Amino acid sequence: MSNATSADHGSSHAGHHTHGGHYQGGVLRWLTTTNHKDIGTMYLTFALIMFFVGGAMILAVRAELFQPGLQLMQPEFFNQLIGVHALVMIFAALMPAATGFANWQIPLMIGAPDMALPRINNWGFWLLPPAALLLTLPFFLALFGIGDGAVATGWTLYAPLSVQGGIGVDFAIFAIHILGVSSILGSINIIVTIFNLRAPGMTMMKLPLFAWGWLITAFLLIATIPVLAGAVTMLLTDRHFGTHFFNAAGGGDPILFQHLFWFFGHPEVYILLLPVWGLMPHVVSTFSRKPIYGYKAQVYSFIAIGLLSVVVWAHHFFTAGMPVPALLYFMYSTMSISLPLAVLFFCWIATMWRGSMTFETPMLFALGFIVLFGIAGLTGLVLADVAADAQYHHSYFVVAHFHYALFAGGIMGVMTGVYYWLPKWTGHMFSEKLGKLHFWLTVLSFNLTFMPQFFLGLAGMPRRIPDYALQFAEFNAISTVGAFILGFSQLIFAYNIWRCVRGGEKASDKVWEGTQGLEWELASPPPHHSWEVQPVIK
Amino acid sequence: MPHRSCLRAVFSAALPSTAFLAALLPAPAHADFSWNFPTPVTPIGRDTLHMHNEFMLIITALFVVVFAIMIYSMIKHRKSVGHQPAKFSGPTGTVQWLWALVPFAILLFIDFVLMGIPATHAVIDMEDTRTKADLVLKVTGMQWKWQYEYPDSGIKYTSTLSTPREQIANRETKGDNYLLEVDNPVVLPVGKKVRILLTSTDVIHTWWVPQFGVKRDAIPGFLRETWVRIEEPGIYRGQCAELCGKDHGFMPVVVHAVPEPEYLAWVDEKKTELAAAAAGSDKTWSREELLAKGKDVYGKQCAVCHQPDGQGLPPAFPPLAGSKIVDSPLLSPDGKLLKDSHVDRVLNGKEGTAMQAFKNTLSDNELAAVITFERNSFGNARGDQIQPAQIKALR
Amino acid sequence: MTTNKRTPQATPDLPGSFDTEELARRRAASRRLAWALGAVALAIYLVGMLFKR
Repeated sequence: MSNATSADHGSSHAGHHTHGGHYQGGVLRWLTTTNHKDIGTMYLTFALIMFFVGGAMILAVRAELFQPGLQLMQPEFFNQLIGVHALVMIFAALMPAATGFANWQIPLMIGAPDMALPRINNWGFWLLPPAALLLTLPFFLALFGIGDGAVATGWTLYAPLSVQGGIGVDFAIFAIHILGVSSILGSINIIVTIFNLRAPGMTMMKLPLFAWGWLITAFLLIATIPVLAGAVTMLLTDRHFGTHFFNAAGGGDPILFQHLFWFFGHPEVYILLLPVWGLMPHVVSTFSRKPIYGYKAQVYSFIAIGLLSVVVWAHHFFTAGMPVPALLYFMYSTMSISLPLAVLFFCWIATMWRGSMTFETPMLFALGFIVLFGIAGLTGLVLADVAADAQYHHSYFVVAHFHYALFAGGIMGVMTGVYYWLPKWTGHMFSEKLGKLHFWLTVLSFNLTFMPQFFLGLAGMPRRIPDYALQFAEFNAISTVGAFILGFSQLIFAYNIWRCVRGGEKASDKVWEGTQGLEWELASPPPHHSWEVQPVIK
Repeated sequence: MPHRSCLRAVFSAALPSTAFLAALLPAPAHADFSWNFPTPVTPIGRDTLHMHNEFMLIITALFVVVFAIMIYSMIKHRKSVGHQPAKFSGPTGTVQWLWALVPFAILLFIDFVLMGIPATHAVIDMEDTRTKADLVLKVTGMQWKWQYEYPDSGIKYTSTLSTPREQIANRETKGDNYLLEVDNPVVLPVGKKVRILLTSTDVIHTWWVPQFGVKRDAIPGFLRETWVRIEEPGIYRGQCAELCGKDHGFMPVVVHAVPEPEYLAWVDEKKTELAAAAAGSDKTWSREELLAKGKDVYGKQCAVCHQPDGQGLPPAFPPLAGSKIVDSPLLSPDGKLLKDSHVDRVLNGKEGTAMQAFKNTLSDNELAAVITFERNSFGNARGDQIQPAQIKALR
Repeated sequence: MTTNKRTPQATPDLPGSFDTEELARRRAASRRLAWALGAVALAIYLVGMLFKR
C-alpha cells in the first residue's frame, strides 16, 4: 500500500520540494513522516483497506444468511465474523477515516502549518496497523490449531460470555487498548491544535464547523475511551487473574459491564457522526452557493449533543431490568437528543433553501446522507420508547437502524468528504461519471439491503443468529442480494480514488464554485508546509 | 441532466422509505412478507403494537413533511433553472424566527407529550409484575436451552430445540416450525396474570415471545421479572435474543396457552411424568438400559458440543474420546465425589466455560445413563457403570 | 528524525502573524495542555477500573 501511494505523492509533491535532501523516499518516509497531510493520507488509505476487509467479512455472513439452514459455516465462525466486522468497521474504518479528514483539513482550515504535536500524530497512526493485526490474527491462528478463532461475543463483549471465550477475546482486548491509545493521542492533538494554532483573527466563533465537530468529538473520546479501556481491563482480569467484577458468585454484576461499555458506546456513535455533521454544512453551502445557515445554532447543537450523549447510555439495555425511574429517565433523555439533531437538519435544509444548487457527486452524497440519516434519526426516536423497545431490542430492527446511522450516516458522510476534498488533496479532478454511478449503486443497494431488515425485526427475527425460521426467508434473501451489490459497488469508489491520485484534469485552488474557507486559498495540492505564510483573518 | 439525477437520488431513498413507514399501518400479516408485529395476545403486546403504530405514523409524517420541503428546494432553487442564491445565514425578522422556532416546539411536543406520555403509562404498566399475579413461572436460561419451573406446582423441566440437525444441515426438508419447536414447551393458562421470574446458570440470555410483547434478560446470579396475561389460546413461539454462544440461534421458546382446566390437567400429567422419571432412580438399571438411555441423553444434551462421535471441537469443547477425565475412577472408594472426575464434571460443570452443571437439569437416571454411556463409547472402554441411586446420594 | 526540524516562521514580521516569541509561547502552551489532557484520560481510566459498586 505505501509503495503505490508514495510514488503518487512523490509525483504530486515534486513541484513543491524546496528543502533539498530533506526527505527520504519510500517506506522510511511513510514510517517517520510528521506531516499532517502524509499522516492524513495514511489514515485514509488504512481506513479504505479495512473497509473492504470488514465488508468481505459481512458478505460472508450475508451469504450464509441468504437461505435458512447452515450452508457455509458453523455458528462458532459466524459469531466471530459478525463481531470482528463491527470492530473493524467502527475502529479500523470509520474512526481512522474521520481522523484522516481531521489531519488533512484542520491545519488547512485554521491557517496552521501543521498539527501542534506532529510526532504524536505519527505515533497515533502507526498504532493502528498492529492493532488491526491483533484483531484479525486469531482467525489465522485457528487455521493452525492455535485457539478457536477471533472474538465471538459480538463487538459489545458482554460478560459473562466474554469471560468464557477463547484467546480471541484476549486479542480483541489488546487491540482495543491500542486503538484507544491511538484515538486519545489523536484527540489530544486536535484539541491542542484548535486551541493554540488558529491564525490571528480566527476566534472560536469563526472556527469552521468541521473543526467544531471534531473538537467536540475529541473531548468525547478523551472522556469515554478510558472507560472502555477500564471495562476491558476488568474483563481481562476476570478472565485470567481471578477477579469477579462481572461474576455474581463473587459479588460482582454482569450488568456493570454493560454500564461501563455503553457509557463509552453511546458517545462513540456520536464520535463517529460529529465529524460528518461538521462536514455537511460546508458541502451543502458550497453546492448551494450560499452561506452556512445557523452557524452558531449548529455549534451549540454539537455541544448539546456531546453533553447529552454521555447521559443516555442505558437505552442500549432497557431489557436488562432496571427500576422504572431509571427507565423513564433514560427514555426522556434519549428522546431529547432529537432536539439538537433537528436543529442540524433544519440548518442543512435552510442552507440549501433559496440557494443555487448543482448536483455534483459530493452534493449527491450529502443529499442522500440527509435523507437516509433522517431515517436513522427517526427510527432512533422510536427505539427510545422503553415499552415498544421490548419488541425492537436485539432484533433486526436495531440492526437496520444503526446501519442507517453508521453507513448512510457515517460511511456515506465520509464518502461525501472524500469526493469533496480529493481534488484539493491530489490536485486532480476525479471522474464525475464514476462518482455518480457509485452514488446511485450505493444508495439503491443500501436500501435494498437494510430496508427489509426493519421488517425482519418487526416480524420477530433476533440478531446475531446464523440461521432462522422459515418466515424470515424472503426478506433475508433480498437483503443478501442488496449487500452483494453494495459491497461490489464500493470497488468503483476505490478505483475512482486510485485513478484520481494518479492523474486527471487539473484542479484549481477553489476546486468547486461556491467554496468558502481558508483551505480553498491554498493550491491543489497544498504546499508541503501547507501555510508557509500565515494568513490573517479580518 | 444533473438535476434529474439528483431528484432520482432523493426519490430512490425517499420513496421506499416513505412506503415502508406508511406500510406499517396495521395490515394483515402475509405469511412471508410481514410488515408489522405478529398479532399480540397480551395487554402489553397490544399496548406496544398500538404505540408502535402511532409512533410510526408520527415519524412518517415528519419524514414526508421535511423531505417534501427539501425536494421542493432541490427543484426550485437550482442553478440550472437560473435561481440566484440568497445571502441569508440566519433568521432575520420575526417571521423567520417563528419558522425556526415553531418546528422545534412541535418536536418538543411530539417527543415529550405525544410519544412520552403513552410510553410512560405503558412502561409503568409493563413493570408492574406483582399486583394480582395468579401464577409464577420461573425461567432459567442455559447454554443452549431453557429450563422452566412452576414453583407452586413443583414441576421443573428443560425445553430444548427439537428441530433435527439433519434439517439444519440441509439434508432433510425443513419443517413448518423449523427452529421454533421444542421437546417440552411451556404451558400456561389463558386469562391469568403470570409473573415470570428469570435467571441464568451461565451467560446472559434473553427470553422473547413477540406475540406477548415481552422480552426480558436472564442474567446469571440475578432475578429479573416480567409478566403476561395471555388472552387467546394458541401456540406462541419466540427465541433467545442475547448472543450466548454458538447455539444462540437454536434455543427457541414455545408457549402453549390453554384454557385453565386444560392447564390444570397438564400440571397433573407433568407431575406424574416427572415422578415416574425420578422413581426410576431407586431401582437398579441394567447395563443395556443405561447405555440406551445414555445414548439418547447424549444425543440431546452433549452432542452439540462434544459432537456425535465424541471428538469435540477443541479447544472450546474437548473430545470425550480418549479423555483423561472420562478415563478415571467414577467415585472415591467410599462412594463420594472426586474433584474434577468425570462425575464431578457432568454434575457440577466447569467454572468459566460453557460446560454447565447438569445436575440442575438432568434427572438421576439421565445423569447415570449418560455418564455410563460416555465411559463405554467412542473407543472408551472403562467397562464400569453408575446407578441413578449413586447419583442421588451425591446430591 | 530529519523531517521535522522546526522551521522558523517564514514571515515572523508580517503584521498580525505570530512572531517567534508568540510561537514559543504557543508551543509551550500546547505541550502543557497535551499533558493535562493525557492526565485526565489516565485518571478516568483508573477511576473507571477501581470504581466499586
